[in-house]
Amino acid sequence: MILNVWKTQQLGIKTIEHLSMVFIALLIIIFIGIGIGIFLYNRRNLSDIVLNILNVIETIPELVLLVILMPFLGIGFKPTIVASILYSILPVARNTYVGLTQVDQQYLESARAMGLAEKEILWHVRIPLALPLIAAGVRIAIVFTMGVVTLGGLIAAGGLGGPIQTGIHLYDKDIIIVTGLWIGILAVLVDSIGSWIEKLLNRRYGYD
Amino acid sequence: MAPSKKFFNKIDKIEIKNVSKNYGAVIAVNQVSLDIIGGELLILLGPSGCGKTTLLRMINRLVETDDGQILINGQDVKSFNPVLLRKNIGYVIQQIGLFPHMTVKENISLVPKLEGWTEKEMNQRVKELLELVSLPPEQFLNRKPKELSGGQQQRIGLARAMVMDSPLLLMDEPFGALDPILRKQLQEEFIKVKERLQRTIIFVTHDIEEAFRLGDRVAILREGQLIQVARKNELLVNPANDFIADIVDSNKKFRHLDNLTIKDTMLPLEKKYIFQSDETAQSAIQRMIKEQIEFGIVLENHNYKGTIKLNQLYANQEKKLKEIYSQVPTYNSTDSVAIALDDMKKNNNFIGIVMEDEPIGILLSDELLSRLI
Repeated sequence: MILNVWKTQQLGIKTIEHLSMVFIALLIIIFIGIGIGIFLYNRRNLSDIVLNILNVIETIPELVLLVILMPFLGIGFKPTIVASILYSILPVARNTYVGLTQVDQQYLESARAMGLAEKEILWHVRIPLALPLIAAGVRIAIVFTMGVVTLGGLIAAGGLGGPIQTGIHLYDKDIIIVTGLWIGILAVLVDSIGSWIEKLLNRRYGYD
Repeated sequence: MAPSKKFFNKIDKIEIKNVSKNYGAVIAVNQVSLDIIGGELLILLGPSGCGKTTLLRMINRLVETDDGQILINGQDVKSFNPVLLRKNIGYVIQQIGLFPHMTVKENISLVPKLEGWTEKEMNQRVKELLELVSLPPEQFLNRKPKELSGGQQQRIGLARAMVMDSPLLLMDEPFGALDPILRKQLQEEFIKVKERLQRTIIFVTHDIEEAFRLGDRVAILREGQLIQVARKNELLVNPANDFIADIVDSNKKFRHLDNLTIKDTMLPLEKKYIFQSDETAQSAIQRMIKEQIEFGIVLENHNYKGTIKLNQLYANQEKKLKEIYSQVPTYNSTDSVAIALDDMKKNNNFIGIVMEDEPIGILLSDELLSRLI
């Protein structure tokens, strides 16, 4: 049954499609999320407003977000990636901001006292010490993105959401179960890679 | 990046003129005037909240003065760019603040790296400094702060503060968080470093014993005001008022000096300081780091053999403690303190072992007490 579904539904190719969408979305999320975090660190008075807006976006159900984007971006790949990004920027941006602002006072004090400029403190002290927290934010983003990309299958984005859709249409339990389980396993695998990276960063940059 | 300019090669004089600082309604520093002579170690002494740290931090402009002026070699500190000013002044704090994500070498050479030194120059400077603070470079270059004991971290903090070879060093209770024996060890090392380097040092402490041990002159502050600044003996002989008299003679033990026995003033021997003679140096190192100590007493079948210091163990890791211990003087618990302190001072020891049938305590030299003998 498993092999049969794997072949007829081309799960191998779909998995690659799926993971590449997740990967592309994540790259953009990390880039924009850390960017927003650093921006908010420089403009702290804006942090409440911006983080609240991102919070509101995140309360929109994933499916609704996809539907809202369709009139602007059509169906398929584009709205799926954009929805993933909108949905996952909050944890990365928030964790970056919190990580940068909550560096232990003793490190900031000794950095200032040895004559580091604020910009140098940001690059050499704040960002490295914030990395473990940023990684935790990215891990949350990974889980969100896996979910949104799967849903994207419903609007013809490709990936593993497609076979699920087919299964529902044909009322084929085998397809639904095998693909569903496979997505679950993939999510766990990707998340454990994330957790491994987080641990590495913690060992390298963590406080203890 | 072009290396930044050196503002001063040598400190001739630092003048603090009528300096004040308020935090809202609280007056942290109130009209303090004080001259610091080039090359001296000046202690700022006082209870917590007396303004000594604020005063120190105004010199490198971590805190800005509200009123008054601070001149280094005749130049107002406010005429310098504060970031560049701080590059020209070494600074050590009690919490040390070593960056946890950097190795010892990276910690020490961060500013040189930003100043564009070559790898070779940095390596050489870091090695010099580690040797200066008695840490074997090859053992420590690539360690992370969390792998170091508190005393080792504090030494690295000192090395880091000296990396730019600045003629002025500000120290804010650098030994305050260490236990008494370790504090004394680092003070002794620091005295040697200080003599080799000939810097101008301003040193904040609330520990009168430390003030008398390290300082050339002592400035005593209370509630933001400077009460007296004088050489150490003057403070003992001519205290400006009852407050000072009380500080330099605060401990009742001084008043009954003749009747004191060693047992009254020693530190009781804690288990963590005891090592067995057939233990290897390597295992002793691990235990010392874990216990945050750098000194130990070696026993063989409950008999006292000698003492070990963490720094000496690194060169002899494979050996057993019985091959490397050294001797410090021993005293009877019933001996007079006055005699013991006198003996320690004459022989330049700062630590002694107190014996009954076996070691029961550790006697530390006491600068203040021995001046009263």
